[in-house]
Amino acid sequence: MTRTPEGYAQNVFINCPFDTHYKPLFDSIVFTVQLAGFTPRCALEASNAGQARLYKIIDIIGECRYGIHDISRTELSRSRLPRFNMPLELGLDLGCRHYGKAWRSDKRLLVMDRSLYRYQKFVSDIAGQDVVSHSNSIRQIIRHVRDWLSTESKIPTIPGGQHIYQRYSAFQKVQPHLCKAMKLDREQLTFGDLSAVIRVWLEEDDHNKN
Amino acid sequence: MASRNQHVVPYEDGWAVQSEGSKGVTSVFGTKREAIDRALEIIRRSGGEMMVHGLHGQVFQHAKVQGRIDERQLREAVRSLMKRAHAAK
Repeated sequence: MTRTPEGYAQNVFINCPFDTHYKPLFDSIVFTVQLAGFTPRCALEASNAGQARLYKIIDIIGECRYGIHDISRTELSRSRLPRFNMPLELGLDLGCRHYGKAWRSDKRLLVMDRSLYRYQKFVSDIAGQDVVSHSNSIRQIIRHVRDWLSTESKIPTIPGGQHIYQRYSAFQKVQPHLCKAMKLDREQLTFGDLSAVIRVWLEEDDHNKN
Repeated sequence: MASRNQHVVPYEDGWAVQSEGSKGVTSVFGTKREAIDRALEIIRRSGGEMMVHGLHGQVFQHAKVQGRIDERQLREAVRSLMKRAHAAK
């Protein structure tokens, strides 16, 4: 890929766990990215097709200027093995910035963990990156993502974290009714469907307020 | 109605995408990866399954994709809910 991919400057790669417990946090990241005017992208766009999945993730990372990496669930699973997908994708993004085409050196990365300095115990080589802690709090995640996007994109019009949190709370109240009306299983929403539901709700909510 | 499922199969010196139930292949590629990408692109439009076959027909990879949401219907549902919420105030 020699030219900047279409939408590169607006694309935000979200690398985080996809389990049920993390779902509200994941939804809040997707919501914040969309409200700030960016396009969320993530590995869920890829299929379960083995080798194709990894290459698809690599392609998605290459198409995104921004990367949000939550390594808070890097811990032992039931099988007593650590979950390494998040650090792996963080490594791919760091590598893409370093070894990629010259224009990729402007890639921006946000690394989040549940507590400050925990990462030093399992991935100390990333010291020097922008690492913030969210304590598994939706409010904090929204604030971190919003502040980082605003700073790195230099867009001054992105609303503040408190405003986004209030709108996210309003969306969360409506979402079950919306899913019911659309005959969608809220817990089984695909990434594409979730993005569409958030985008359309934000557009209609904006329209109503103006 | 033709099935939405897509099969990636070895074809001559490369790989091809074949719709389930169809006798011929729909597109031919030099590499398996290109054929998988094309099959996924097709099933992402309206949902379906993709199966990647080996030389002897065995299935090595399998992926299932749900169809995309109908955006016009979604917008109508959002408007209807907002109208109801507004009327309840």
